[in-house]
Amino acid sequence: MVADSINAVECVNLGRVYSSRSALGRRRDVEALKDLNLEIPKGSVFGLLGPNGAGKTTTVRILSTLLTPTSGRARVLGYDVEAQAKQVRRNTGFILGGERGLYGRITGEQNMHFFAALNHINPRDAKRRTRQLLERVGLAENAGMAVENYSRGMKQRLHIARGLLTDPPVLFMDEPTIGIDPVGAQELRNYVPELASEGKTILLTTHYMAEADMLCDTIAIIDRGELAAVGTPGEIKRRFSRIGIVELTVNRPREELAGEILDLEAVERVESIAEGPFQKLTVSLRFGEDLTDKIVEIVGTDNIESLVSRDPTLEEAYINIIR
Amino acid sequence: MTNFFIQSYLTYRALFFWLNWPSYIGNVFLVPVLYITMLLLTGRFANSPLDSEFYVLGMAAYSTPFILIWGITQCNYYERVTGTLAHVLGSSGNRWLIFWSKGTMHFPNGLFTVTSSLLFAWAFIGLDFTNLNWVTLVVSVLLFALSCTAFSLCIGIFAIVMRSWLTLSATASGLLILLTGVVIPLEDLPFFLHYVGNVLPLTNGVTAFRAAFDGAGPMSVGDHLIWELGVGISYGVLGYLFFLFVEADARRRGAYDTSIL
Repeated sequence: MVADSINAVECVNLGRVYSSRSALGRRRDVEALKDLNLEIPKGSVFGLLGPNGAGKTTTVRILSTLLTPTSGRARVLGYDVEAQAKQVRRNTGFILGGERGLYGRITGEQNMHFFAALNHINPRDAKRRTRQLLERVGLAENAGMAVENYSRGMKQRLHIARGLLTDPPVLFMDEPTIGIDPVGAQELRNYVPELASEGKTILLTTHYMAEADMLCDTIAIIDRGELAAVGTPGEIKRRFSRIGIVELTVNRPREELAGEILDLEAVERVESIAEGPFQKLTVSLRFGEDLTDKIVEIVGTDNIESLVSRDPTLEEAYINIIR
Repeated sequence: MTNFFIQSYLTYRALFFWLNWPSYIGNVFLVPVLYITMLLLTGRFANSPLDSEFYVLGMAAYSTPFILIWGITQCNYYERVTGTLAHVLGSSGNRWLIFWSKGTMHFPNGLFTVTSSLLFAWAFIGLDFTNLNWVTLVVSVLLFALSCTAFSLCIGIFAIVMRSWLTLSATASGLLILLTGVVIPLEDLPFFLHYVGNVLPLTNGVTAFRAAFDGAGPMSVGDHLIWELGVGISYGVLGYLFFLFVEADARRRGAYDTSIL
């Protein structure tokens, strides 16, 4: 029975424990997900952030039916990922980051034809759809080249084309820009709003905060398998950063400056990096505190090239949540 | 059906790493010739009471499981190590067709290799075709090629689980050469191995195959042909059930891309 829900994805108390045994037969359990509750509205771009081992990929794998949960339940478009796996597969596409998962010895076009055949698309439609999608991801000219000769960026674009073969309403993208050069990553990011504008629901996992900030309507941060925060990027920054940032560029670098500023009450962290002949200091302050005068006093007015007070970034909020 | 053949063809092109001229000719045509020659000479030097034809026909038939086992297990193995298995099993593809698609294009290789082995034996060893019953020959070859394909697909699932194809292929090929009567007559084996031999592919097919060269008609070796077919169907069903079990187990344990399965 398919519920007519406004949510494309629902996870209720979702849990996953990986069990293994040592050579002596001793059982070892690792809890990768603990009671995860998520609701992803239809047509939205939902970002799942977290450090390595937080449970992002486990969540995507459960939702794409590659893994069964050990507790709780998950539904995609109302279909249970365990009991109705076939319907879930028909309605989802998954795009994994990295170079694996494609047949290197055959061409990009043949890879598409293979997966089209696998997904019951008739050969005529498969040819038309392959042509359209390879055109869309900029691989039309390389369609006849063996995939083992593709660059990493081209392989990633082929992953995207394959994920769209069945025109699924829900897409799972697991770190799609990982290991891609900045220009290639930017090109791939451009597909996300484009696909969202077609009404697709996208679950995106990423390590890149700027990417999540730019692309996602809603973000969930998970840490050690548990949901740590959820909200729009703006809400996350406001609610969870609890810090203010002062950035200043110093004309005459001095190593001790960072330590002297850190000694001030209400200063939580100071990062110091060299920027050419200058020293750049990023000072994290307790939320609501204004220490600009004191910092200027320590550094010296004539020694300051620039000074800016700004809101924290998503990355800073993220670090605050994860720590 | 068209989609099944597209799948079969592309999976063969993508995952059969012997699909280049040196490897293909070497494994489909040269290796059987070397095996036949080696066994023939060994038999002669060992003063075997069996005639040359016994070894020549046995090894010609054995060339079929050889290419099928090694070819199909490597395709299954590479499906996993290249990371495409997760995408195949994450699709809505029909599992029965996915299972058989790994063997379809290998099946003709089994026929090519036995044909070329027989041609070699006729041209260079003087294999006598005078009494040959062609119908029995064709039916027996088709049936043992089918049962060996099903057996190889079954073994191939272990290649996914164990992430190894060389050890598996060597073990399975060794088992067949010892226990199916291609080199050692079945009745010379200890009685329990006699029974093991009867549930392996090729055993009954090779008996019918040899009988074809003595002029036996298909009806006179019908029990062997039906038994060979039954063995093939059994391995096909067993392999498919094992494939479903491995898929379910991998989903339960999360083992598609890890070394633990």
